[in-house]
Amino acid sequence: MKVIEQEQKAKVRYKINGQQYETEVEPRRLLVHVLRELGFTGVHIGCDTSHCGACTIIMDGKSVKSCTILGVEADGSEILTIEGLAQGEKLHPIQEAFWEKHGLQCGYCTPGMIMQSYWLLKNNPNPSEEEIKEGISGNLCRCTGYQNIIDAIKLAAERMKGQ
Amino acid sequence: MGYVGRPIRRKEDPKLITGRGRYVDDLELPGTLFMAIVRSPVAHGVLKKVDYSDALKVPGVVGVIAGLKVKVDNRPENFPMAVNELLYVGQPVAAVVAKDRYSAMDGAEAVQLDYEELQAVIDPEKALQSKGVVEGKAVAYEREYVSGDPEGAINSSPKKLEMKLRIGRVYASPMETRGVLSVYDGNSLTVYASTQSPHFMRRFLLDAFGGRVNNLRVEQADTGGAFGAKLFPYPEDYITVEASLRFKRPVKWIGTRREDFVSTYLSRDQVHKVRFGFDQRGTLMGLTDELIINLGAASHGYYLGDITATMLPGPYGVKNVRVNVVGVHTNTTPLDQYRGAGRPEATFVIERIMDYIADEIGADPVEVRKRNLVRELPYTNPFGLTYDSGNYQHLLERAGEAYAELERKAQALRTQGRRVGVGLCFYLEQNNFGPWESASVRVRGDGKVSVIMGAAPHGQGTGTGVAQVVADELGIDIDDVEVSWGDTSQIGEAFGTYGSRSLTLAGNAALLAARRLKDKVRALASEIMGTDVEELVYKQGGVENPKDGRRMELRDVAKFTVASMGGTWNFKSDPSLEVTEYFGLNNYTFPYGAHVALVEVEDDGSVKVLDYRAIDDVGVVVNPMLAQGQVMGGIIQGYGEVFTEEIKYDDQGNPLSTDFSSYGLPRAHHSFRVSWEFMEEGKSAAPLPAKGIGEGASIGSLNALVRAVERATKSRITEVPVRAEGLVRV
Repeated sequence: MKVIEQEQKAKVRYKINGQQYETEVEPRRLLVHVLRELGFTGVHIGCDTSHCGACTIIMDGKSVKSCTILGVEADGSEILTIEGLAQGEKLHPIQEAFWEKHGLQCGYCTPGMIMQSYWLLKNNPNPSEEEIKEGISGNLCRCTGYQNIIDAIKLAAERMKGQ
Repeated sequence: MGYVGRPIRRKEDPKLITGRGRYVDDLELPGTLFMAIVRSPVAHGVLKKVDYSDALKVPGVVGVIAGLKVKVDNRPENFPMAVNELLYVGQPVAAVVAKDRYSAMDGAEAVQLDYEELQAVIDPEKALQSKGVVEGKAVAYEREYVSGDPEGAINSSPKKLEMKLRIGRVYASPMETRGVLSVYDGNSLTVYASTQSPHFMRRFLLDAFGGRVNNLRVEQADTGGAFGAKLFPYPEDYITVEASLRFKRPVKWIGTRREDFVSTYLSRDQVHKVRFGFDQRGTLMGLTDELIINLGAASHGYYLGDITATMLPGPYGVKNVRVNVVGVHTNTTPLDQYRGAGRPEATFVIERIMDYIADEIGADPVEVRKRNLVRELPYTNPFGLTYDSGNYQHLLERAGEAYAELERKAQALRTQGRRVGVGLCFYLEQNNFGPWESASVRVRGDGKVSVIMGAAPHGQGTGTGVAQVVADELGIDIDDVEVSWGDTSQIGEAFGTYGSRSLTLAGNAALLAARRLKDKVRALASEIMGTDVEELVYKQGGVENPKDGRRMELRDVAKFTVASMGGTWNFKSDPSLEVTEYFGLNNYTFPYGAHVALVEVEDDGSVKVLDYRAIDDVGVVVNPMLAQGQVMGGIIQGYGEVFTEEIKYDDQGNPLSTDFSSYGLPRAHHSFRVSWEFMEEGKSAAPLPAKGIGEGASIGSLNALVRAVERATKSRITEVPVRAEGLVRV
């Protein structure tokens, strides 16, 4: 096991949205802060207790709350953030659906909500309403009342069929 | 076909769904320092010493601020920091400024506070009997509202009732916590903030710092929700600015969620002791209310008692009313507004009264409301508010049909032994808290139209609504209209977004500006075209002369003004295609509506909403998709207020709700379908006769849900939140 002193920084490498990054981080620094400092400010912080899901990203294929992971723990991993979801100017069907169904108001929970939806639909391309509710129950939204988010995920699922 | 009235998707969204929003924590300037706040760990105490010598030794710490005092109306002497008295847990005592947020936090942990604890008062009713709760005071505000002869009317009524109602304390919980970035360049100060009102913020910061800076600009960053909680001056606003002036570096403060829980102004928290008299047919004859509002450790929330008092009669014709408002201090986080701001409290009380009258005389709750409803508008209520327009009876009839339909559903379910009930709430809302709002409409040289508004929306979608209005008025494509807001350097004065006012006030300002702009376009075009201005008409994005069919597009007029550099301007009309309007209304607007809920109470006490109907009349609905979004979001917030949310303290004043596990924000699995319909009978007197829908649902939802549970469990409910423990089937 590698031991890092408190004041010392550790070299880490990530592949974020398809691109390689190398940086030095303090061992105690949370992944969410590291990502934000690398410029991925679409990864939001909504709480300090892992309850809100605003910082949700995809790490090595799994949805994770990036506030519960240390930057050093994520060394070597492959990360997808909201900034990497669209293909150039072409929005991902989930993004399109959130727009169309008015699935956001203030937009603060939206990146985390969309990333969680992305993971949900990867694992369950045809979720029921109950499965959608269950699937996003770790992500808080204060504005929408969730119904339009649920409808957006349904619409995205519909459109992603056969893709 | 026009845009107004259609569910146009939002212009705000593309950046927000791609992670390109710029919230205040996303903004950073070279050399930005981070600030962490040291907060009072006790609810009440004498502050003897703040020792920050160890903090200064922490690597990365640049400096510490303690003992800062700023005089701000309705705030304690110990503001923005405790200097000699600790008033509530979470009150700022010192601030540590460091090179980044981790070292600032390290520094804050090294600050030592020397204090002597004092008896804390937490219960608002106990505060009435206490002395010296906050800087020697217990009662912060008193005002009596009387109309007619309430006592006489009650005493001579054939039936009388008394009860005590309570509305719990809640936390607005925007998903983005509060935050400020203050940048001082030695001359000008620029403050970036998560706020509902950059112009108001500029004014209150100028009051404090105007003598020390030559210019002050506030820029609203993308704001991640507010719900009333990001409107008024906060200690951290002043401390952050002070730090940037003192250390001459950009300074950023972003509240952690735990900080936000104890420092963001909380809301509701009222006790009502009501006594009322009514006749055999259910007509409310007289009403008195001893209203206690728990203002916490400052007095600035007092006006919420006034709003509640003056709206207490609601849409009903009762004339004899007395409300005695007492605002008390407790050693808790100060109180201020949250979506609805006094109207949910008033509506909850009067609607509870209507339900109790119905129960007492064994009548249908819809019929009792019908009997009491104001029939002719305009109508001036006992406390001088003039209800403007609409047809309350018609909307109640429609709600009565929905009520009857859900009652039939409930009957069927009851025969299966299920605990179900239906609740109704009729609400009347006072909107358009002004006094006015501004908007500027400008045609740019490329022919695109830029609208700058003084309102400062943060999720409502007002930018899209205003674009719809302006695009229609100018007869142009909505994609050619860009709406921006939030920067005090872009428009002279403004108020912001609160009280469901933005579309009514900023929307009308933009509409009037667009109208005047058309005259400017006509005048200039007539000179360019060499025609008499009287012959030109503005039509669909251009001007034309019906006589000879000649036409000039808006974009061509605009391009003409910037076509060449140099030379002279040889026209009588000035080249500007810009108009700014400030718009105010001389009365409040009064939207109204009804909510009907069918709920099932499970054996374990949890509540499931099986059917929910909301009917609103807010005048003209500019964008039904956005309006419905406000309704659905407001209803779930109401659900939270009724079933899952409450800020609690222990006897010593330690907050027991400081994160999203100890404070239950509704999650996706709590959500339910809402069916919404709207009427457009009660138009406002404005050219764009909209009244505002931002808060209606958080007003109408409380009693609908409470009544439904009451009916399902055959109980009497006099307070929110309603706890599941009390609903368990025994």
